[in-house]
Amino acid sequence: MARRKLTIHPKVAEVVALFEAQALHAARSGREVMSALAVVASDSPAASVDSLSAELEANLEALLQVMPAYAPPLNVMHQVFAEVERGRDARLPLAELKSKLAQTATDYQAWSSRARQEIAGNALPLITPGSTIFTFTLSETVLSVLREVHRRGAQFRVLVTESRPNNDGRLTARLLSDEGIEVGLGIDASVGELLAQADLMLVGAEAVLSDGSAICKVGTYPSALAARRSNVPVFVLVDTMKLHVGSLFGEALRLDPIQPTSLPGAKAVDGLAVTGHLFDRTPGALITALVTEKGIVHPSQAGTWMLGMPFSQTVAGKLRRREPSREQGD
Amino acid sequence: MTNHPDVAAMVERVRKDEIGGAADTAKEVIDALANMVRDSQAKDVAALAAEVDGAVLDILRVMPSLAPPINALHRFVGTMERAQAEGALLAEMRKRLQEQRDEFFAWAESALARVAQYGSEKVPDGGRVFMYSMSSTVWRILRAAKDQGKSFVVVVTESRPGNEGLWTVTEMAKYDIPVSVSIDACIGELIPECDVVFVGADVLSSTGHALCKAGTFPSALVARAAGVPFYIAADTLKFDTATLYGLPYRNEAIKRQDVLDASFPENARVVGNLFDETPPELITGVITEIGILHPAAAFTVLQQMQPSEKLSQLLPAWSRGAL
Repeated sequence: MARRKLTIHPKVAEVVALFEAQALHAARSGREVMSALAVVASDSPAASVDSLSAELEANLEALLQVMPAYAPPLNVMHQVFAEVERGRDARLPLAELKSKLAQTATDYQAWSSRARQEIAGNALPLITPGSTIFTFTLSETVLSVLREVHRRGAQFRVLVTESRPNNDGRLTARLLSDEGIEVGLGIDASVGELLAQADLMLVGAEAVLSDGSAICKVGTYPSALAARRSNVPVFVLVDTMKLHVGSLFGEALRLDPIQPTSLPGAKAVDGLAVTGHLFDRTPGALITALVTEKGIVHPSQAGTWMLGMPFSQTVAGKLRRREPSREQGD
Repeated sequence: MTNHPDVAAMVERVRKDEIGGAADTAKEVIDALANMVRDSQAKDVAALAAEVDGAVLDILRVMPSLAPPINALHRFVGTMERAQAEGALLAEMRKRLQEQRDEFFAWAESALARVAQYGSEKVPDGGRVFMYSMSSTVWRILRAAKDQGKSFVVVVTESRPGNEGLWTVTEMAKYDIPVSVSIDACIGELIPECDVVFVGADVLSSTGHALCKAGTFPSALVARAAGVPFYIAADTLKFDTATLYGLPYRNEAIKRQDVLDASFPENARVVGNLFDETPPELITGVITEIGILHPAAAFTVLQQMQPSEKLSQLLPAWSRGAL
């Protein structure tokens, strides 16, 4: 049988371009990857489960090459390929597998928006009227909580820092202040002073690992240290798709390095060596609780939940063959 | 009110904030006072002392709360007080006060050389050194270590809003010391990869707290969490006598235009100060010209400086701007 040339689906190419432009945050990237893989499956001309699987794998590889340290798209891949592997093992007819995959994708989108609302609902009681809330960078989940509290008429103040290099914290300050919420914006170097003024710290995460640590935008870890120093509780708002299931088996996340172009003031220096990464790791010991759609839990719960999550050997194998990656050490 | 032109000119330069650093301000203060004593027409000790007292008041009225020039004044006025107590005659007093200039300048240079020497012993050969922002004192330490033949790498971050960390990059390049740079948010990743942290300080308080460029305190927290030694490099001129009497140190709010542009609404404010305070329990040692000290030794250091009684009495009103 002649091998059909495996092409990258235009929808996947679109998501690849979004990753390359750093235009996707973690939660959204999970939704985008899920719908892209679903479109690959439904559009596939494959005549067998095996060739459908091969086609999905080719598209998977294109995504893996560009994906930053986000857990949701990786978990989506594990979910989709675990489904394919089960179908193949059970000798499921192709049409039935395709319909299962389509259903998985539909369910995922509904689950994702429900989870966001449930997290907001669980986080609401944490914010008492008059609170000063420190948040780092930009988080869709944190923003939705703050908006809900504001909508209910509670008074509070938000402290946020720039979050260099892409200044996502400035965007948070802009979005909240435009809605009439009192915002204080500082520089990232000021976290020591600002956390001493805060009542609680709310952040999102790119991924939570099996040891309860969180991979977040760089600067979160020093903020959490400052929070601990000032006895300020640290809440990480994540849906359970942020739990990086591969971390159970030591699968590292790829942390993107800071680019020299991120230091505009340093251009004058020849051959400048720029160091550091876009994300850092906050150990579970500094996290008061994870606020999830299933409830508010100690970070050590992450590993337990991962044990019940789909895990695909196909995806794991591809990740092992990827370029050596770097993960924040212990 | 002083009539001496050098004192008046120096007071004007301080008022307009035209002098670069705190150490330079201290030197200018001593220099102007020594010139005034040299040119004084005073007929007796009391008249000379009154002239000095008048000049000191003029200086204090414009002086921001920088420790080095205040300490320079302690030295000068303290010398005068001791001479008076010993019953020194006018010629002797004049001589002692004028000697203050040469003594102070020689002391300042040798103090920095000693700080560099002691600090260089803490630079590990083949190691990685993290320094926050810029500090000419830390630069001297690194140069001394390089001169000893040690090879090491320096890691620094930008230090927003002024980006003084980039000055460190340029300075290290001058001495052929390999340096890499990052953003301030990366301290959590970079410091655990280093063997030692050095920072300069603007002020050390009587309780061993260090007032340094904003971002130093979080760096110290990271260093502690990672078990990396954290040193403050500062000669004893940086120890602030005013803190003994509970007086606050100077801090400056970060300017709105440094962080926000005009497109932000009014309810978005800029928060934070240019300096933050690192508590003594996070400081491994303070590298001074008299040795590497535990930060809690600050009180002893301040006692040894023999602060002037007259000046000490003026400091509370000075810090309230009520002189």
